[in-house]
Amino acid sequence: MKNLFQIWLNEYYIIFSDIGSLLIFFGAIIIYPFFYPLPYTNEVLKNVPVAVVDMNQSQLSRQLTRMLDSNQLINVTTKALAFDQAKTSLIKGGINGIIYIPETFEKRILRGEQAIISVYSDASSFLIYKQVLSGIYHATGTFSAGIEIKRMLARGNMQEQALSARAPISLLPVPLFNAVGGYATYVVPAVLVLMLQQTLLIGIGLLAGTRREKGRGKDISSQSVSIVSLVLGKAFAYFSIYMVHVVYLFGILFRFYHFPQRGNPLDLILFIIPYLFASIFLAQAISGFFKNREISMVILLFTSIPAVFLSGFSWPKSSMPDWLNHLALLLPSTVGIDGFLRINQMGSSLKDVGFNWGILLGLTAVYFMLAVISIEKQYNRP
Amino acid sequence: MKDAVSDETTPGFKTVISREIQRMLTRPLYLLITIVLPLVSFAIFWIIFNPGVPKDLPISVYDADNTQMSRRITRMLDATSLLKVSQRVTSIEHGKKQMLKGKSNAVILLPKNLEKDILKGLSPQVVNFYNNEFLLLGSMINRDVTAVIQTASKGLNLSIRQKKSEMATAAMAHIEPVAIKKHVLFNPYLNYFYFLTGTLQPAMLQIFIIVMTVFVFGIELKEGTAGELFEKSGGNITAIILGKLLPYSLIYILLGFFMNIYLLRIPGFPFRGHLAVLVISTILFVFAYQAIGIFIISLTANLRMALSVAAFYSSTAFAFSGVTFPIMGMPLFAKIWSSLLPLTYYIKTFVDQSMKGAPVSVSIPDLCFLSFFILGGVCLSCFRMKKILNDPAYWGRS
Repeated sequence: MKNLFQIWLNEYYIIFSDIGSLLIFFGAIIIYPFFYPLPYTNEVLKNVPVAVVDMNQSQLSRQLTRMLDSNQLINVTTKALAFDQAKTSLIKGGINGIIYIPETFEKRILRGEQAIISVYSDASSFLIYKQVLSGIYHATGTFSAGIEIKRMLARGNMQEQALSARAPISLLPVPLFNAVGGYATYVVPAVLVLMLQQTLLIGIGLLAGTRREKGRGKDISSQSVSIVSLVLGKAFAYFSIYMVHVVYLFGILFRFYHFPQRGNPLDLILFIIPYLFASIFLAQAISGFFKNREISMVILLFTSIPAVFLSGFSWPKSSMPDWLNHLALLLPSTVGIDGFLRINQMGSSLKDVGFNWGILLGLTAVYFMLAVISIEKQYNRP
Repeated sequence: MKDAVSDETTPGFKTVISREIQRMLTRPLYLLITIVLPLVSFAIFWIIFNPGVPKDLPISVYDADNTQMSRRITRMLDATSLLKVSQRVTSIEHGKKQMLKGKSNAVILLPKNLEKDILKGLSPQVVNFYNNEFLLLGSMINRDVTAVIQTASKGLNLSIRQKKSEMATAAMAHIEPVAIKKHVLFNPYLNYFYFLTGTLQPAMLQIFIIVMTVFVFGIELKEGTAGELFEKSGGNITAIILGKLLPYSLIYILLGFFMNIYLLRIPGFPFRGHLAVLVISTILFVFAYQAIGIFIISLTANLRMALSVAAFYSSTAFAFSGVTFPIMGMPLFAKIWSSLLPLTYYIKTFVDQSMKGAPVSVSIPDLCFLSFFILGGVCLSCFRMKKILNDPAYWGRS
């Protein structure tokens, strides 16, 4: 017990006396959360440029154009006189959508016929496509409703009836958990959870590589200490540092960014504990592969982006092959990101994410054993 | 004069390049970073995004009406390829609970008296409570539910008004005075396999290129072999830079072609532009990241520090490249940062040339920017590189 405590303290000394490990265990944790969200700080994409090709040039077509322009998602930046001109601009990327109003537009509406406008939208990027279409549908819907109410009123219907006669069934969409559809709110929490795992893997790998490089036996931990104490003592040092990070990131920084925090804090802590331990033991288990100080970063850096996608947060797991989903469970981040988002952003209870939690506990146990084997080998002990 | 220079260059260059190839072949780590791991990362994305469009996402329905009409809407929801009505719930709370458990992505409320109210013309409201935490899925689900309700609504409207003996076309006009005819350009099936795979693969590749470039120079400093390298090259810095980098340039360019060919060979992949532009862009992309790599290592003259800087630069690049969130929506600083990433220009060229079929002139500025990185990176680091390789004070630091 005393040994374990010594190793624990000694590990702090090792971490704090190495500028390389400080940069990973502290520098990254401080810089990333401020740098990474920068592209997303506006949260919602607005004012996507579109062109209106108005062949009608009537009062009604100009009214529709004004309504399109005043929609916050899109911005009518070009009023082209010919479709080809607008299309060239679309291909060149100056605009992302075209609304074509035909010559007969006003005439048809005044006659009580249906006028058809054509919309050409750039679908090469999902978000742009979505914003352009919802902007146009919303503006056109408002315009249509105005026309229809006028018609009904002209026929002497009561206004209320006129309104309700518009659609036999209406749909009310109620987005839950990220009501405004903010992009930072969507991406950043997931990435920060991943960052905890990745910095642990790289940082612990760096320390192991450094120790090998410098030659063994210099630190006290290699003498007369049980392997379990050695593994746990080191692990507690990392764990305690990361619990401070957890409080900083999810307790303070999330408030700063106004990210939702719907979960029960106790559930969140209980979920994060095995996430951190599983990551730490995994890091210790693989740290034997790193024979130099820099190798862990060289090899592990690329894993971040695939790991985010494997967690299923942007692409549903049900659309990936089962074998890949099963294999991905070996990474703590796969169930870790998913479970964290469900608890913190959606307000699920620990019981609701019981599967995720169970996997993390299982990984903690398995990786602990592997860590013992790996550390035993690294410290060259029977 | 020209010949004299190249005669002087050649022996140094030949020595450096054969030395580098030998190092590459004798160190397993080198092959791992240059060939194995990039291919593994490509394969991961091919497998993840292979279906292209998600299917059968479970949703639940709270049918408080339980009439022919409500059952018909339920069947229509189930019939979409995206959605699958996996369960009937008995309250909204019950449906939300299923969402919290991760078993369902939405609850659709079909209100009491739905059928009656439709017939009375009261315009009853169907409510779609959907999980928007996972934004991409949330918008796909809402899009399809909206489409189902619109279709159902249109059908009903038509039949109700026809009962009132209006002409069918006139009835249509009453439904919507203005109808929208939608033309989806550049990606007609809204298949994001192309987009995501085509952009994530270069995002992976740039990580490997920059890390490897930093590594092959940094390791010479760290292990103190820089002096030997310098001597062997005859003190020729051009020979050193070219000789050490070209073997990797070749491998990464081939990998770049490989990822492009893989995409282009997929049936239905929209390639409408100029292949030559994409080829040139891929080559410049590789050289640009190598140039930035030598810039970083010559600036820091420390392998570990250079790797940290390269890691920071390359691992955040995807977020700034405009794939996930378009550049036009970013704040100024992020826009500036994204303009400092070769990835941004490569991805733009890729999308312009493959999906949009843009004319060559659209991509020329992007190709120029990529060349800029190459020139800038090499010019800025040449002199300092010469100094640090030749000065033992910079060796052995980590």
